[in-house]
Amino acid sequence: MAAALGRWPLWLTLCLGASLAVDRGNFKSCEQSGFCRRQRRIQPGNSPYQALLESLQLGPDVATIQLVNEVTQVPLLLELWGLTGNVTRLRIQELSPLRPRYRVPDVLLGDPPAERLEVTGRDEGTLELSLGPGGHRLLVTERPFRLDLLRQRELLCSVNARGLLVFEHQRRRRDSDPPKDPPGEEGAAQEGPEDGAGSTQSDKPAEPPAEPEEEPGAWEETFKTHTDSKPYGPTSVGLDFSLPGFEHVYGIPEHAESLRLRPTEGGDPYRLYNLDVFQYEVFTPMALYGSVPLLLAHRPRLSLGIFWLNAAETWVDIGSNTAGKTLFGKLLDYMQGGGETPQTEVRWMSESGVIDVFLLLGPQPADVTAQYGRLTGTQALPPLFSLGYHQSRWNYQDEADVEAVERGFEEHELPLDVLWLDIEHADGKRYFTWDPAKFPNPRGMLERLAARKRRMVSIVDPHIKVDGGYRVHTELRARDLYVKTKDGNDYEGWCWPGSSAYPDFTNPEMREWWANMFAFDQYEGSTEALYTWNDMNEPSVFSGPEVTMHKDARHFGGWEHRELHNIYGLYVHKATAEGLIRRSGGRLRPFVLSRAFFAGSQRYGAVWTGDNTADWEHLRISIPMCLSFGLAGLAFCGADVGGFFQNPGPELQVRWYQAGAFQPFFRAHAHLDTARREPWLLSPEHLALVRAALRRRYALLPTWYTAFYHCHRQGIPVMRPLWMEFPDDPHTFAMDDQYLLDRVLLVHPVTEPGARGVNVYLPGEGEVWYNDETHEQHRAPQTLYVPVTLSTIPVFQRGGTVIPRQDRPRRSTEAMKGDPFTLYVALSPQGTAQGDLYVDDGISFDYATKNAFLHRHFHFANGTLTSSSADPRGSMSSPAWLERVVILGVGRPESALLTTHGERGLGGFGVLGWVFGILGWVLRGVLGF
Amino acid sequence: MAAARGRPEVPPGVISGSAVWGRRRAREARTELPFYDPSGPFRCLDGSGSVAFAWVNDDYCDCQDGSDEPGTPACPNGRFHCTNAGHRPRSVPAAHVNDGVCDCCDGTDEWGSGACENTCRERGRQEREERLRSAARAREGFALRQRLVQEAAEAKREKESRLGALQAARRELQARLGPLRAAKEAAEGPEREARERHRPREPTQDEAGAAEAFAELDGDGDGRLTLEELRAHPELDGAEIEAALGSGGSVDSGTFRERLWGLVRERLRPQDPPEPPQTPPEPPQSPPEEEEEEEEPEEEEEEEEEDEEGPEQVPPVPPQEGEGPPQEEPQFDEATQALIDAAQRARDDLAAAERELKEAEDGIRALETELGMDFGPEGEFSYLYNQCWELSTSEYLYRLCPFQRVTQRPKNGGAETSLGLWGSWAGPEGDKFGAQKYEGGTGCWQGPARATTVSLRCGAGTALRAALEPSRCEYLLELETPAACRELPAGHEEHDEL
Repeated sequence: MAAALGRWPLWLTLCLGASLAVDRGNFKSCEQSGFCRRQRRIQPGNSPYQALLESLQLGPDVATIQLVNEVTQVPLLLELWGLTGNVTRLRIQELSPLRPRYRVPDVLLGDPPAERLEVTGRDEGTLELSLGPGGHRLLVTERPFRLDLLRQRELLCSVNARGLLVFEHQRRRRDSDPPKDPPGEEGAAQEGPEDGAGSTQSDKPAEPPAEPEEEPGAWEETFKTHTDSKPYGPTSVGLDFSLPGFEHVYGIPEHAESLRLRPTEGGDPYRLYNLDVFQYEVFTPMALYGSVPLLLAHRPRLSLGIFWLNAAETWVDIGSNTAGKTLFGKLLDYMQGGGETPQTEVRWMSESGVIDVFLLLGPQPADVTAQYGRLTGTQALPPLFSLGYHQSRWNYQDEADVEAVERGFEEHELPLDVLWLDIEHADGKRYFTWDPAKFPNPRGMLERLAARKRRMVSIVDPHIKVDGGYRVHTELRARDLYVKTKDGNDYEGWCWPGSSAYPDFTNPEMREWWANMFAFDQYEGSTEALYTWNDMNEPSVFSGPEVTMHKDARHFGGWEHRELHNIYGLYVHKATAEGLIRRSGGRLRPFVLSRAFFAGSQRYGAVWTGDNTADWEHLRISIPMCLSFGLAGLAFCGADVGGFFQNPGPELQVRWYQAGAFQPFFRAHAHLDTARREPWLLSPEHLALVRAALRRRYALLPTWYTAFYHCHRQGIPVMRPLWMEFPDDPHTFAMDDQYLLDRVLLVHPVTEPGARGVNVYLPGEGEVWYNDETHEQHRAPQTLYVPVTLSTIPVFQRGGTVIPRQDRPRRSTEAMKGDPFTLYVALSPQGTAQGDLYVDDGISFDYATKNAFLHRHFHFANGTLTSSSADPRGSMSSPAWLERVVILGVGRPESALLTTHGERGLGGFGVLGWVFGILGWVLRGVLGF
Repeated sequence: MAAARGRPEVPPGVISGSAVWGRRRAREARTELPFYDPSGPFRCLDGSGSVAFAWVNDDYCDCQDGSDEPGTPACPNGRFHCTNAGHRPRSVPAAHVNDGVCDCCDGTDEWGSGACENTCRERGRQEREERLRSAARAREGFALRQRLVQEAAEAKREKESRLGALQAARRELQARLGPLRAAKEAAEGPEREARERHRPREPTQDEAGAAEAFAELDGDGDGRLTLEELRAHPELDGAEIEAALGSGGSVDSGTFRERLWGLVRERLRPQDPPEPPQTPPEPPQSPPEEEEEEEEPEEEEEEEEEDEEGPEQVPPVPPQEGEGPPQEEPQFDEATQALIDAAQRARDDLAAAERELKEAEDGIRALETELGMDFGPEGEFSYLYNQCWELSTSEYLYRLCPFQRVTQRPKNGGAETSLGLWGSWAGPEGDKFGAQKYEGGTGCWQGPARATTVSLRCGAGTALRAALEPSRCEYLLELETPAACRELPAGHEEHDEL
């Protein structure tokens, strides 16, 4: 739902003036954020840091080297790992910190396995380490300190080449009282003290000699009416990375920005700080609801990733030596053989924590996403129903309204899987309750929905109404599980219910308690058909600085909010998903939608792009935003169809349904103050177009589900930028108005009003593409002008692929269970094709715990379609069968033979023969797999 | 759900029993329809093709029109026909066949699992009973409606004749006004002269006012009023006043009264005499819930009227010029007094005539408005005019005054919100009088002005039955009224048998 501060009288006046534009004054610029200002003032140059090469210690996994700041003499510890699968990790922290620094827990799946490092070369001032079998080498330069990462003779990436390593070491406050309660003892929440530097605290009591001049704001900072007490002073960290040969970088969601990141010189850096931004605008580097500090870089033959594991406020500067040069200028450089090699500079700056970086060395795009997936986990396999269509609105008012809306879907023969209830359903915004007047019988309502194979999602936000009569509040208070203020009281702020407190989800005990709240006897009125939506989990605090929590608030273990702000939302998501798993006895998959996120959130469910607006710009930006999410692991992404704020016209609404039908999370949602927009309120003509878009979505669900399975297993996004599949075609590198669904479909939604046609780029030297509707074949590469009407969704199937569909237009995904499949075999110019189909029960963990799944591989060559198992571990009996095979790219085939490699539980193919039908020549009536 | 037009409704599947695919088993059923003839190939009903009869209902779609699969979900555009014996036959999308949801009351759509019970008889019975009940309601309502039509016609005739009478009265009054004005002028001349002879004595009220104002304006109290002192009162700013002040730049109290008081009086105490109250609207014909005060039609002043509970305050008729309260009237000699009395009578007569004219005009306007309203083809809705109905929900008190306005008041206190003023009849085509639209209510944040649709439904009484806000700032009220009842054809209950 909503950042809709406007609903509160206090903010109403602020919002009335600026209609439909973000109020930038509510959010900090780099200049207004003390550490960003301090760091950015440091210009590239000679680094004051020196690597003490003689301090090298080579352990079985890790190499450590001390770094010393020649000005302050403060020593740092550099740790280096060569991780299996082409990943290099480097971590920098103080050798003797005054107080432990926060090292982000619960993001990495575990300690990533490391390769043994070896010293392979050494001369005066340089050390060469080899990083395992990948052929990667790391050069450590002594003075000034820098790292260069090479693959054979090729330089991939340099670290601190511009001398922007910044480590604001902890210091004692000069004036007077030191901070009271450093959380040293109880503080090391995560990785235990053995590798922490905290134990060496007493070894080096000597004060560093030359403290730099402290500027105002180092120990206290004020933004608008809020003062941040900063009891530990300046603690920020920063580091630069040079990427020679790269002109294209991506990632670091969430920003309302093009897929390709733009150079930030002359403006603000990209900001990562989870914020509830009211009526955000497109094409700005401003922070939004979620953060994943993963940046990807791509050039022909090489993709890299930089994963900066830090949960504090973070800014990222992008520099490019070719920025501003025209294409002609670049060409001229090239022809004259001179000019610089294009190079991208990336600079990370975080307010606190340590420097902990994973360099994902690819080399292919899918290798980078897989490397990231191995570190932080892949997208949880969604329950099948959640890939269907979701109908939401703030708010469906009562049980009768829910009934009427669902009846509308029935009467107009529109498929629907999930109806959503926003904040008004709860009794006075006390989550886990129901408004007794509007929802007197939630269980009955849920049962009626379930009887028609549908489900419901209710919102459960992490702000808890401060109300002595509200069980959630009284228990959390009694158990002392709320976030605290700097003075140790329960932190309270203003949110939807009025005065609210914030559960400390960083505390495992809190998450445990929360998860148990989803038990059917705890969340009264809930059933297995009820799933959950976590909104406002940045966290949103209407009365707080930048509409979020004060940075000096205190969490479990004594950590300040500033250290872990960006991971708070992940913990809410995690605890909720855990609750949904637990209520089913661990049997069923959860579905939880979250607005805030961090690295690793993909393990807990879906995310969406928050409170967008019903205009064409926001429709367009939904594509690059979801592509960026996907690159950062968050494959289950969507945007509110129709736009949250304001009313879409019928054309925009239809186009948004068409685009949404081809995005992973497909939900229509609308603000409380907008006009109703259920599809049947459109004219019959527009309604028919929405119905067609919904049916196309449902017919392709087997392809979607199979794509999610690939993602779940391999970490490869479901919605992919073209360059992931065509990595050597520079035409695709900045494209973000079209994309691939898995590797099989190319989608170019129409996002312009009154469009008569779109230019679709069909990539792939010597390849062919087939129009998904007309089956017309097109050669590639080419830019194809596709004339469009309001009914057109330009979608192309790649020659050489096979996609499974279920073409019976059922009322929901569950009603499709057992329906037969149709294979669309799109032949390559060589007359071959392959593809796969993944099937399981769609709802339980049996696929993982009992191998109850089918993963079939299809291969077509020489007139023979062969079906074989893509994963012999899986077996399951399914009522589904293969009813039809449509072959694109041939006339009437001479012959066709279907064979299946005999596997347990599966019948052989039986072929009835070729028939000419609605789809042209098809193979009719095929049994089993 | 209506069947797609142009395609015949086909009863459920025909099968010869041979087309069985693996675990698939199309339903065995028989049909009398001639085109499902197992003795030969099946021709698709749209003529698009022909398939072996074994392919009918074999759960594979062969015909473009879906006619080869009347009993299976194979065709995306197919329809499945439920006989629903005991209830109403129905056609459902073929995609509802064997999807695990019971759509047909006879359960035939789930022939694959047989999981659905046959509930047609029970549902048929319930529906028949409900139909009888609603028919009874409709008949009762229609009888009432006929009475309303009659009463409306009578009331209309009565109003028209009242209008005629008022129009005649207006003509007569307009004709009288001229002579009365002349008589007043004629009487006031001698009166003024007679009064002059009696001056000066105690200052009249006006003179006292002038003296009071002089003292107030004379900031330094020196007995002279200067330009600066006048300028201290911005409401008195103006070239006219400065000119009247004269070249001397200051005046004493006598000069002030003569030259300036006339100009200053209005500006200093603007007493725009309020309009005399309008003729109160027609007394309602026994409104059931009418308890609040009559309201002015001006919606915009709603907020200000907020605290004016209780009876309407009738502002006093302002004193005519030169007219003083009688008790302060000095003693005059008989002759003078007679002149004054005569002038007063002339003034009173004129004022009375003007008042009467105003009343007549107000009455005419109100009647013309009412008579100009569209109260339905037979005026059956006219009884709703000038009445209000209320409905209390958990949060709000809704109030509908048909043909005038809709309002909403939060029950836990707070200001009343206008949900719209009378706009127009807004029923769907063919049923124009099925709904009313009220528009231009209080504006919404980031949205349009509030508006309300009132849907009218047949009932034996008049009452608000539901108030919803289906969309932010768009309201839906349901008003039950006999006026919305239609005549049922005889034997309606038995017709359209289940």
